[in-house]
Amino acid sequence: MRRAEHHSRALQTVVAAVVVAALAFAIALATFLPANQDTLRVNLNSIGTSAAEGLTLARGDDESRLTRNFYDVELELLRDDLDHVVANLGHARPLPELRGRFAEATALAGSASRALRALAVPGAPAESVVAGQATLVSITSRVDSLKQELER
Amino acid sequence: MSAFLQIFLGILTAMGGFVEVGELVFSVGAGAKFGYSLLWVVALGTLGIILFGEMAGRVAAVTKQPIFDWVRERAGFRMGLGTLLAANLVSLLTCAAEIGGISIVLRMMSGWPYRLLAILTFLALLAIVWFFAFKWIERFFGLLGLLMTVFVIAAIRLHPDWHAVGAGFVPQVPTLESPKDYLVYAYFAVSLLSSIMLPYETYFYASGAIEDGWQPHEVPMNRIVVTMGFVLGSALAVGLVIVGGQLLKPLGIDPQWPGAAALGPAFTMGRAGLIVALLGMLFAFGGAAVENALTGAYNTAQFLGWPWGKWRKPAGAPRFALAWIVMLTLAVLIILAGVNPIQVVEYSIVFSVLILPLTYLPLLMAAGDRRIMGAYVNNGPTKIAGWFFLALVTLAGLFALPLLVVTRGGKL
Repeated sequence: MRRAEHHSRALQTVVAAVVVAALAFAIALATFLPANQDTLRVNLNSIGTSAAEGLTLARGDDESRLTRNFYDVELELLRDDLDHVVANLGHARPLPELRGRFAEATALAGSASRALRALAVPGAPAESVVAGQATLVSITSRVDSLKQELER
Repeated sequence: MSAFLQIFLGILTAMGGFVEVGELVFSVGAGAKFGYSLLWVVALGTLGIILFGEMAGRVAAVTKQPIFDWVRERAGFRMGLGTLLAANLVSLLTCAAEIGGISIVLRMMSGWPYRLLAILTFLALLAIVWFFAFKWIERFFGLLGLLMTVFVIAAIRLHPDWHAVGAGFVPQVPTLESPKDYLVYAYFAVSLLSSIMLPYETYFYASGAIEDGWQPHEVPMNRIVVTMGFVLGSALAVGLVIVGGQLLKPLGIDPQWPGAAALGPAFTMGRAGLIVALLGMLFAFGGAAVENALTGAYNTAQFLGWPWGKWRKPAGAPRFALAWIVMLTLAVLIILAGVNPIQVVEYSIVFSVLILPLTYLPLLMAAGDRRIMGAYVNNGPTKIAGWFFLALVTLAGLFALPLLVVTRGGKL
């Protein structure tokens, strides 16, 4: 019984220490450090995946594979994600050498959100849907290039 | 009911109840990010949950004592209380995530406002738990959760490279582009393992065995149900990984919402596939929400020695009934506060892996104690496997939170 208590106490101490250390690390990271390449990469990933999913949804809608509610709600959730990205990047204090890329990422997120809005309008003219899709294609491509530049 | 039918229903129920929102998110995400290279974690997690699920059922059938009786007995009141609070916090977060997931799915089906649907979901779950007997709750959600097999059909219709799928079951670390990708891979491995071995599954399973009045002679049936049900259930998780790897990865989609998974059935079977997928998610998440609410109540009542059990009328176990009502109420309040349910999922999965060792150690010690278990004590291979998995989840627990922070929830 004592050995079991000892094991259990040791496990709980380790768990508590890990939780406290990780939380302290996360708070320090969020509060004191300027936004770095990782912050940018996380937000670029969100922009890229939202744009890519928007394009896939548009294709599915064209091919009548999706229900209207599903299509609308998915697009709205993706737009919300992009609006969060715009807000996150807007509040970030980037390192001086990354300011230009942060600004570009913010602009990309804003245009992706607008393009998704264009796709969501019921009975929208074909030209605006095609323009929205073209915007999303160019955004995914630019996001990939920015991510590659960050890797270098 | 004949033993055969009982086993058959048990297997189907275990299979249909295998996937919940966390497992769905991490399985599809793992496929979308790393193709099939994390399938071995699905296999490993399935072995782990079979091992501890069987152990929990066996200990409950032989001793008639659920897990939190053992936690209190083995760890003492103060240390056991820490485990109880941690386990209930994880169950609460998981329950909240499931209610959020259900509300999103219902919104995709109806277009109604999210918060209204969260309230309606809460009321529906409340009514189901209040009025349905334990067996029917289990069967209702478990059997309707079988609609999730649409993901397996979608995976097959996406024509994956089966050789590559098979190779994914071999433990590996694939060649990735940057050191940060390795950290994300490790984060997904830990989270996927945790999502399959969620601690509430063993608490609920053991409590359910006592609710159903299992006897020692039913231990072999327990073994068959757990093994077959969880192996078939893991096929659903494999299907989700394949949908992620075969459809979403080439398109550059890293799923942020459960709806991305439904694109698999939609692109292979059209609108009918999409609707079945959404219904499957609805019942799978619903079952997990109910199980987590009840688990919180079971744990608390068992630890504090209150009368408990769904077989009792609420008036016969008022504090137990109040406990699950409080769990559901707090969970819906978390969602109504506007917290992103998918973020809640991520935290609940990571915190789950932290408490897995605290759950499994007392269980392993009870199941290995011949004075308690008699002829049903753990045999040699089970003991070795049990300690191996305990070491594994402890190791995973040590790295889970740092990986969550460093990889920013796997989004790096």
